[in-house]
Amino acid sequence: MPEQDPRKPIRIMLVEDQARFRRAMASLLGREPDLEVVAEAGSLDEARRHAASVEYDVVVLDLGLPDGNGANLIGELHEANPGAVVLILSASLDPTSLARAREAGADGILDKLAPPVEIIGTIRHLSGR
Amino acid sequence: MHQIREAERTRIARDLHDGVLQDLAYAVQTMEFTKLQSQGTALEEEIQVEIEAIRSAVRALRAAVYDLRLADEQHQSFPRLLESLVERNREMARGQQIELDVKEGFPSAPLGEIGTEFLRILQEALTNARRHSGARNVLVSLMAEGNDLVAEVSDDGRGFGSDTTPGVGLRSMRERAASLGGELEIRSEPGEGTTVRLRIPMPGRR
Repeated sequence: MPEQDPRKPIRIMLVEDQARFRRAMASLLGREPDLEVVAEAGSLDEARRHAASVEYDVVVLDLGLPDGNGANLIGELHEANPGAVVLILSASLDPTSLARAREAGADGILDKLAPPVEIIGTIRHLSGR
Repeated sequence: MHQIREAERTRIARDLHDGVLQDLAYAVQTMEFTKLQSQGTALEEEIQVEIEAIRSAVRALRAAVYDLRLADEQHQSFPRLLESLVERNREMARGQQIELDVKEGFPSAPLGEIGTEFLRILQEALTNARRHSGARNVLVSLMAEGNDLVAEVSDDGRGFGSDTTPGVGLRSMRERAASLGGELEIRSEPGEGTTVRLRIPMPGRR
């Protein structure tokens, strides 16, 4: 795992097809001095393209994407940036869906409606800060 | 044939609920941001009330979806269902240990609808322990005491005093407990953790 400089912000990629939800998350995360949203994607395809060229520490991932289940992306997201963690935000908290995400290697799963402080705290915790 | 209709109904209901939940997720997080922008103003409190109203609606929606899934699961033993619930909570509770202790003598027969309500109350208690207590350790215990079933959720978090206004969550927990013919006891002192103790009469023996 690459050494993380604690002075550098945690780099986050948001993968979520609901653009307005992505904007809300970007606004909330953007307020934190130690977090930086470095990329956004609205589909598996877009996420794959970013993963190939963007360095990230955390991917905040939605499972219900228009071109497939986000769980299918988890392995690739880990491979493209070794040491990066994938946090699932789920609105339905459907057990089958979450089990699949877990099996695919999700590092964390949170309620999409959780208070921002919980989401932000989990991002920091998963990043080892 | 009945099972096929049930499964289809469940799937349709879940799709409907899913769309609504996504919309509500957007509404809540946007409002959370607006609330942060309104910090220190009277608006901040108003928005918080509205956010809680939406979260309450989401709890009800999720409960409805959960019920549909549970139609089959109600044939499972209660301790098994509680294990799954605890496991799901462990997922979300990073940095917190959740132990489950099912004492000897707790019935393994399915509890059906009563079990469903019982689980909802325990889920609420676990959510509180995760979000408000700052606890590192949570213990869920299950036992039979005479003709009663008892569950306890205790944490080593910051606790709260008698001057704290009970949240909407606590009220709904008490109401659910009462609707089961049972009672909810909450013991907490600032700095000394919290124990939520739920006691209900064993089903079939009211």
